[in-house]
Amino acid sequence: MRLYAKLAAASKYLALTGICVLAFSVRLFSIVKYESVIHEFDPYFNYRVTQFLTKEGFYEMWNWFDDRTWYPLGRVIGGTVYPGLIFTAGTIYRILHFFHVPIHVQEVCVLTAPLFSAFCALACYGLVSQARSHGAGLLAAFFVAIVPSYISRSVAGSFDNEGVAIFALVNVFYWFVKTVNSGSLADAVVLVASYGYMVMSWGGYSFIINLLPLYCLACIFFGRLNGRLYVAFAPLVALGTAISCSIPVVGFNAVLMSEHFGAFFAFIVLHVALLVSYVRRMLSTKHFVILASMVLTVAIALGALAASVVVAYVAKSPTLGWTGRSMTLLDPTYASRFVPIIASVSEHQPPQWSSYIMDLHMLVMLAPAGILACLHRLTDASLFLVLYGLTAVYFSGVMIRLMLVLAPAVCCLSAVALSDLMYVLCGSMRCWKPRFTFSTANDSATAAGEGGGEGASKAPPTPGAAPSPAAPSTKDAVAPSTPDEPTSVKKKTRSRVPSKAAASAAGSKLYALPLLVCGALLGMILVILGLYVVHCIHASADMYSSPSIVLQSPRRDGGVHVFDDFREAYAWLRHNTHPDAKVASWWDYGYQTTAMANRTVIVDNNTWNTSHIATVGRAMSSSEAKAWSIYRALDVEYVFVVFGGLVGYPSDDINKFLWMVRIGGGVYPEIKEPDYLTPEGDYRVDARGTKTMLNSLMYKLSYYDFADESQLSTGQRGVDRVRGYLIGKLNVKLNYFEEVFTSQHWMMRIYRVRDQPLRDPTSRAGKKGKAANRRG
Amino acid sequence: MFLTEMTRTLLAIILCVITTPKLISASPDLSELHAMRDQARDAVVILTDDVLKQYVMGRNRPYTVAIYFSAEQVSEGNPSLRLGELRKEYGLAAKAFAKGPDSDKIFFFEAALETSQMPFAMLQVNALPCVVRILPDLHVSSSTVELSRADKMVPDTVGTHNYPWPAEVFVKFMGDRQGLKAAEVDRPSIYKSPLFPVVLLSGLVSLAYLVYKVYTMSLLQHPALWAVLSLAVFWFSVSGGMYNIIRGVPFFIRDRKGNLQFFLTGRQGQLGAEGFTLGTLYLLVSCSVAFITFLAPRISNRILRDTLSLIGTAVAAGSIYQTFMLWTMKTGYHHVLHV
Repeated sequence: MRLYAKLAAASKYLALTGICVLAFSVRLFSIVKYESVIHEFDPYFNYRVTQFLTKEGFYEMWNWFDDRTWYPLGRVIGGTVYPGLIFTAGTIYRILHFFHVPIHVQEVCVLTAPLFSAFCALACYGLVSQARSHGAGLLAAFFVAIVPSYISRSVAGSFDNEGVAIFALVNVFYWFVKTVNSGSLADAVVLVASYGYMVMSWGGYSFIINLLPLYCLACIFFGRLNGRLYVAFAPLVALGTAISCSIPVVGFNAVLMSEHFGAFFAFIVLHVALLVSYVRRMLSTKHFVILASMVLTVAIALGALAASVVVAYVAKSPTLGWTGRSMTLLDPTYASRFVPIIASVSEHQPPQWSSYIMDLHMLVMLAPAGILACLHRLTDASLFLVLYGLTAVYFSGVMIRLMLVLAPAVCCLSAVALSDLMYVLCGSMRCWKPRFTFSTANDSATAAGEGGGEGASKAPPTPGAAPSPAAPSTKDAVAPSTPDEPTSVKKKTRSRVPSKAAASAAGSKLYALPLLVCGALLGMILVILGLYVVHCIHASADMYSSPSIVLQSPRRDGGVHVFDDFREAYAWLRHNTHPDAKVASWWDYGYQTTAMANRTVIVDNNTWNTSHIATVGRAMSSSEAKAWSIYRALDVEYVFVVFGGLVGYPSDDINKFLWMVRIGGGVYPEIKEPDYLTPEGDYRVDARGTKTMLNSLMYKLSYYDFADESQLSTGQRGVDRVRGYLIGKLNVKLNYFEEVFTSQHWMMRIYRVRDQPLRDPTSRAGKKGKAANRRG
Repeated sequence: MFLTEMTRTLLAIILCVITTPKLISASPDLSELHAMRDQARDAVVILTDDVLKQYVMGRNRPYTVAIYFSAEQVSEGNPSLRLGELRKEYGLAAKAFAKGPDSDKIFFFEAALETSQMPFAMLQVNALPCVVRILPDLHVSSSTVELSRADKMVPDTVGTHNYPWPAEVFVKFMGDRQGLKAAEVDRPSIYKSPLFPVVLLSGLVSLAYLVYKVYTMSLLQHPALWAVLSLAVFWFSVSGGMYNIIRGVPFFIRDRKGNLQFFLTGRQGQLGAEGFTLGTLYLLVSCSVAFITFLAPRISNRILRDTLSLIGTAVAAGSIYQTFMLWTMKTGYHHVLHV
C-alpha cells in the first residue's frame, strides 16, 4: 500500500512535469514555422523597454523619459507601464548571464510567455487541488496547458503583459484559496506578494480586487465567515493597496478610483461581521438584541451620511469615477457610444458564440457541470471557483479580450466536473460484478480538508468493505429487495466540510451505473478529450502562431510564400533616414516603428492622448494639401501606409480607415463620417466612392501608381485584391508627398513629405481655362 | 323624362352651390380641423386624401403644417429605426403645440403609406424617418412640391446623435421659423404622480422586509437557487447575449422569400436565436453530465436508474455531436489532425 502511495505520488509529479513540458512546447509552433521573432504590436514596445532595461539598469528604466514617441510630447515610460513583464524578462536575462549563458535578450523575451504558461498550469493544479482533489487538479493543469484562448496570447514571441499576468492571476487565486483553507499567516504573506506581482503585471488586477471582496461578501452571506477568511482577506486589502500605490502606473488610483471601493467596503463589512459574531458570543440573547437595536440606529444615521458623501464625490466625475474600460464592462454599450478609441480595438469587441467554442472547445460545455458540482459539494474553495467562473464568463461576454481571464476558470470548473464524473464511472465499473452477486463498497471521496487544505488522496472503492454507520438503515431497506438483482451497491461517505448540501449528500448512498453507460461515457470522454487535443494543437499551429510581422501563404507546390515586407520597410527607414527624422503612420504601427526602425513617431499603441491620434486621423482623411500642412506643423518627414490591395492582405489601412475618420471626427468636427460613405451608407473605394474619400490622403498614398503595378503583377489593371473591385480613381497624382520606398509586395509604402509642394500645372491650367471662359 | 332632366340639373346646381364656396375660399374651415385635432388621440390628424386636399393644398394657409411620414412595413421591417418611439415623441410635440398659445397656427398630421400614397409622391419622400414642415406661404399644388432642405427633418439635417429625436427637438424645429410658442412638453411619467413617493417608500420598505424574511428563511442560502442563477448567467454569456445587446442583433430575420431564418452560416455576425440554441446545447451537455454524476447513482430503482442514465448519456452525446455539427456549419471548421 505504501508502495502504491509512493507510485501515485511519483506519477503525479511525472504527470505535472509532462504537463509543463506540454504547455511550453505547444507554444513553440511559431518558432518552428516562422522564426524566433517578437510578434505583433505591443510586444515590440515591451521588447524595446526590456532592451533598455538590460542595457541601462532598473533605475534608469524607472526614470526613462522617451522622446522618440508621441512627438513632440514624449512619454514617461517608467510611470506609464505595468513593469511586471519587463522586470521578469530582465531578471531572467540577468540570471542567465550571471551563469554565463550567452543568450540574446530577444530570445529571453520570446520564450518568457511559454515558460509562464507552464507555471500557470502548476498554479491551476494547486488551485483545483485546494478546491477539490489532486486528480481534478491534474486535469485542470492539463486543460489550461493547451487551452486555445490562453495559447492565443502566450505563444513564443508574444511578449505581452498577459503572458505573465494570467499566471499571476491564477497564482493569486491559488494562494488566496490556500490561505482560506489553511489560515496560515505565512500563506497570507505569499498571497500579498503574489498580488503585488499581479498589480505590477497587468491592469486586469482590478478583476481580482473586485472578485475577492465579492467572495468575501458571499462567504458572509452564506454564513461561512471565519478567522481564516480574515487572515486571507484583510492583509490583502491593507498591504495590497499599499503595494499598488507604490507602483507608479497605479499610484493613488488604488485608493481614489471607484474600482477599488468594493474592497474597502468588504473590508469594513468583514470587520463588522466579525465584531458582531464576537459580541453575540459574549452577551446573552436579550442583551444582544438591545445592543443591536441601539447600534443599528446610530449606524444607519452615520451610514446615510457617509453614503451621501461618497455619492457626492463619485457623482462629481462624469464616469462616476470609473475608467472608460471598466465602464465598458458595467455598461456594455458605453464604449460604442462615447469612446471610439476603445471601441476601435478589435479585442474590445463582444464575442459571438462561435468565439467561445473556438477558444475553449469542449470546456465550455463542461463548465456548467463544474459549477453544479462545486455547488453540490460546497466548500469555501469551491464557492470561490463558482464565483470566479461566473464573473469571468460575464465579463468575457462584454470584451473578447477577457476570454483570457475566463480560460483558467473554465478549465478548473471542467476539471472538477470531469473528475467527479470519472469518479462515479470508475467506481461503478469497479463495483460491477457478474449477475447474482451483491456487494457494497465503501470509499472515502476526496475533498478539500477544512483544516490543512490537504485533500485526502483518492482512495479506490473497496468492494465488500463494511458499510459506514451513517446509512445502515437505508442499506437495510434496499438490501432485502435486491439480493436476486444484479445490482451492486456502492456507498460513499465523505470526509468533508459539514455544509447543509453536503450533509444531505453524505447520508445517501450511491448505486452503480450500468456497465453500458459507463463504457459509453468513458468512450465519449476519451473522444472529446482527443478532439480537444487535436483542436488545441491545430489552434496553436495554424491559428495563433502567426507573428503578423512576417506573413505566410501556402503555395500550390506545397511550399509557402513569405511576406517580410514590414521588416524590410522598417529596415529601410532605419538605414536610409536621418536618425532624428519623424515618422507618421496610424497608431497601430507606432511601437514597431520605434522598436525596429528606431525613429521618432507621432502616435503609438499607447493610446493615452486622443487628440494627438485624432490629428493623425484628420491628416489621413484630409486632402493632400491640408494633410501636408498638418504634417509640416508636426515636423513629420516620412509618412507610411500599410496597403494590402496588391497581395490581398486584409488588415491594411484602407480597411482601418473608417476608424481614422471616426477618431479624427471625434475631435475635429470638420471630418464627417457620411462624407466618406456612399449615399447608401457603404464604405467603398471604387467608382461609387465619394469624392472626399477618393481625394483623401489615405486613398492617394495607398493607390499611388497602383494601376500600373497591378497591370504588371496580376494582369487586372487597378483591381484591388482585398476589396475585390476596380478602384475609383486610377490616375493618382501626388504634389505634396514623394514616394521614397515601397516594399516588395507593396504592403508598406513610405512617402517623404516634400519641403515645398510641386507646382501643379494641371490645376493651374484648369483655373486659367475657367478664368478665360468667364472672360470670354 | 323632363322631370329627371330637371332633377339632374337641380342636383348639379345644388352641388355647385355647395362646393363652390369651398373651392373659392382661400382659408379652409378651421373649426373642423380643430375638431379633428381634438378627436385625435395625441393631437395628430391622420392625413387622408380629403384632408390633404382640404387643409394642405392651396396657394397659402393661415397655419404651418407638420407632416410625419410613416409606413407600417418599414417600421416592422426595421426595428432598429425605432419609428414607434419617434412617432410617440412627435405626438408629444403636437400635444404641446395644441395646448400652447399658438395652437391655431400649426397643425400636426401623419401621412401613413397604407392610408394614402399621395403625400409621399407629392413631397418625394422615399426614406424614413422623415418629417416635414410646410410654411403658411408655400404654394402646394397637386404636382410635386419642392421643399427646401431646412424644412425637412431627416437624419442628414437634424443629426443622429440624439435619435430618436425627442419632442423638444420637434418643437424647436417646427416653431423656429415662425416663432411659434408651445406649451411645456408633458411626458407621461410615473414620477409625476403624487402617489409616487408613497409607492416608492412602501415598495422599499416591503422589499427590505421581504429580503429580511427570505434571508431568515435561509431559502437564499440553498445552493439549488444559486445553481439555477449561475446556469442562467453562464447560458446568457456563452450564447453571445452581450453581442446581441451591443450590436442590437435581431432574434431572427426573414430572408428574401419571407421565410424565417434562425441561423447565419458564415463567420460574420450571429442571430439571437442561434447563439441561444448553442447556449442551450451546452447546458444540455452539462446538465446531463451532472445528472449522471450526482442524481442517477442515488436512484434506488434499478430499471429507472439504468434507463435514465442511458437517456442522460444519449442526450449528452447527442448535444455534443449537434454542437460540433453547428460549429462546422457556422465556420466550416473541421478537426484537423497534425501528425
